[in-house]
Amino acid sequence: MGREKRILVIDDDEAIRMLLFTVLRRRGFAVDRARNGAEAIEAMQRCCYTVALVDLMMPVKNGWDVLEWMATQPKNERPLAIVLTAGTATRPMSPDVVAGTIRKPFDVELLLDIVAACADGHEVGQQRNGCPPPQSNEVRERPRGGDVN
Amino acid sequence: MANESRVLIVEDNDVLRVMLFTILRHQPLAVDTATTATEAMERTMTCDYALILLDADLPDGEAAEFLNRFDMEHPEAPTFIVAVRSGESQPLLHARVGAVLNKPLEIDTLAELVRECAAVVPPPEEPQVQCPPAESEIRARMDRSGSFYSN
Repeated sequence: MGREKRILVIDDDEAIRMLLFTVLRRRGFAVDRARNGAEAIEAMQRCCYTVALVDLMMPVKNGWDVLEWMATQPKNERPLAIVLTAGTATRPMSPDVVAGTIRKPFDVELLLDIVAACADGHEVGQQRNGCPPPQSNEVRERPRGGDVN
Repeated sequence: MANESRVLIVEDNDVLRVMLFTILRHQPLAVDTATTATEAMERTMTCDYALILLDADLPDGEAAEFLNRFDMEHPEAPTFIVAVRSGESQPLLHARVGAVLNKPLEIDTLAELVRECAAVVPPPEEPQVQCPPAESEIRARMDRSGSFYSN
């Protein structure tokens, strides 16, 4: 069995964060969420991710801060970034860090396939000691056909 | 499909090549890939491409070499060539290059540009005998038959 492909979703918009978290989890990825750049950097210091979906406009630390921090990390320890933009990105991004940018609203199927393509091709090192299980493991499917008591 | 415009991706970076293939196979296009200029040249000898997406950063000046050879072998081909370059690399100045995109790629822009450029060049009316089914078609067949599953 191959190494776990762990994805980090970084977005301050709860609806988008939940949407991406759910569709990626259902695709079989191990997924974590971050609400802003500071949380994202903390998560990447704790765990190795294969792909990070990065929103640009966020409070506390924004997406540019996250990309800048990622650029300082060793290549085999940092995820490939896919940047989610609301419009035209105004600053240049390093192609070493960012695989591509996609505008919101995005095509979910296309985005999932791109994440899968990046995850297949990008290898990161061993998972870090002390990295907790992914948040996607905490979600349990509700059984079909009725309410859960 | 026989009547879809055919596109060739020439990219040596595995992640980018697979990503480009993934983006373009979602479009109404027949898509092939090549990792080197030599492989790309071989493909152009059997199939007519409406558009070639060429990595300008191929090692050892392969991209420029490919353009020269393509021009020599297919001087009349209406193929539209899009060069994809990183910000730091030298611009690929060649008469055959119709457009230049910078990395990292804006996925929506790329998909739109490729769709529009490919539509300008009509697909061949007669099927090309030597031209094998496109990789995107093979992949679609595998997806339909359930014999391929990513992840």
